[in-house]
Amino acid sequence: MSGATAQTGLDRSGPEWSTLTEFLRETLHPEARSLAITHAERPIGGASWETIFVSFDSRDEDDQVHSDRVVLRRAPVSGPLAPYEVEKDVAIYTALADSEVPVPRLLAWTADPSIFVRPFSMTPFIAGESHDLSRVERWPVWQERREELGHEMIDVLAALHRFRWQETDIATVLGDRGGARERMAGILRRYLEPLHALARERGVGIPLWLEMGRWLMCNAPAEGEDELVVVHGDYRFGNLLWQDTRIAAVLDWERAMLGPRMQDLGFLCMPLSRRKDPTIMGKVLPFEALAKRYEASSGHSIDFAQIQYYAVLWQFLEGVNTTRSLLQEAASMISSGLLVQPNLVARQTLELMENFEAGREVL
Amino acid sequence: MFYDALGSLLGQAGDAIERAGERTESDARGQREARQIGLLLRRTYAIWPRLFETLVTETGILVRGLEEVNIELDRRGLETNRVPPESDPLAYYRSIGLALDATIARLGERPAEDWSEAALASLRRSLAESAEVQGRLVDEMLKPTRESTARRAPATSVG
Repeated sequence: MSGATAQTGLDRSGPEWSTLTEFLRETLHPEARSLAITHAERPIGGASWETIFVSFDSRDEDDQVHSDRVVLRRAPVSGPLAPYEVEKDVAIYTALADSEVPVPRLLAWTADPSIFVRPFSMTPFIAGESHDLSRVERWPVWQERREELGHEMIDVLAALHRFRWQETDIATVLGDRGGARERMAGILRRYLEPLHALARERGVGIPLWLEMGRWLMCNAPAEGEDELVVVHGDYRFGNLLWQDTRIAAVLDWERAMLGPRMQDLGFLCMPLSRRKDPTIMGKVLPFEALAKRYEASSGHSIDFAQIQYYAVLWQFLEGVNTTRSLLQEAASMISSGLLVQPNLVARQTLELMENFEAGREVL
Repeated sequence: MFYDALGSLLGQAGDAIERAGERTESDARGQREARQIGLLLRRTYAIWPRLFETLVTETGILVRGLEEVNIELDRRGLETNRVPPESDPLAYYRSIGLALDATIARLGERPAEDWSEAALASLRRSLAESAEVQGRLVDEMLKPTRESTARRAPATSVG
């Protein structure tokens, strides 16, 4: 992933690197005479799973050396999206492997912590560029061909929403089914309750997030289980690997769940990602263009009120997760943005809620 | 939350600087963290003159919002969440936050009635007003902070 900033190599003196080397040989090259890790580095970015690029040489029976590079995604020690379940990635990558949605090919995985300290999955290194929201504006392709990028993003999203999840066992890792209220209760259990428990432990209140959680339950839209699709839940630039204007892989599925189509569109329309230019959704398209493309690509109509509602949900989750990060004592990296984010999110979300209640079509 | 988090982040920044001093080599990750720590310190400096006043203003808004609901609960003979004033402003702010948590949870558990819905709406207005007040600090933090702190220091100092 060439969009990642180059790093100096990781220190590989710990015993876990020996067990990882053996794991690589057994799972990827059992026929090799030997295998040695030559380099490992962590790209910058990503607040949840640890991503590690591992390069290695394997020597075959004819003494020929083959160089290769893989991407490890390892569960972090702690984080706002805990619990981190490697099985979820495995199920999603496996189910989507032959679909229209580009995902990395799963090479191997293990939940056994004796191999590399914590569970991890492994996929091939895919060449491409990944830019997070704060940096994408500096990307020449974004500057010159933003509309094409937007169309590709919407087309891939529509392909995900077409995916027939009912014919796979993917539902076992995607959380609650049922109506919106039941699913919302599941989301609050998963995200709000751990924050509430941590806040009580630290002796601080979180009244805004509790009130928003209550509001989301009270205003959940009526929708049937037959309308549910696989929702990515974090469909943003930083989680897409680009080759020019084509998406080579959709990454970071930890927030994937079953939900209605408008749930992912609500994510793209979150005010948090359009502070610099409020008219551009998801940093790619104005709302009208996004809606038109999605309707054409998916064959399904846009529901504005639902998009508003789900924008509130995603904003709420951003607020809850950053607040949880702030309450956790050891951050993986100091970020001054973390301090201002809950308040920004809160103000934007309260305004969205007001617009929703007043029936104003404003995002 | 904001005020406690500021202290906690400053503490973590101190730990990170200490760790960086022990490392023999500097990598891109370490350099990024160092930039973030610098930004955090400049942002803290930017809001310092209004930090304590804002805490007191926010607390006042939340106390009034909570009391309005407590009066309604009293009228109906229901349990209230009143917090005695504390001399430590941060401790008082925390106590009010916890009392608001308990009030929202209790009202939310009740079957929806006009009065409880109105009480929750009133609490939300107080929370929104308080977020706006805190937001002035946040907006101040987000202004470009490249200006040298030396140039912005007062012309005279005391003590």
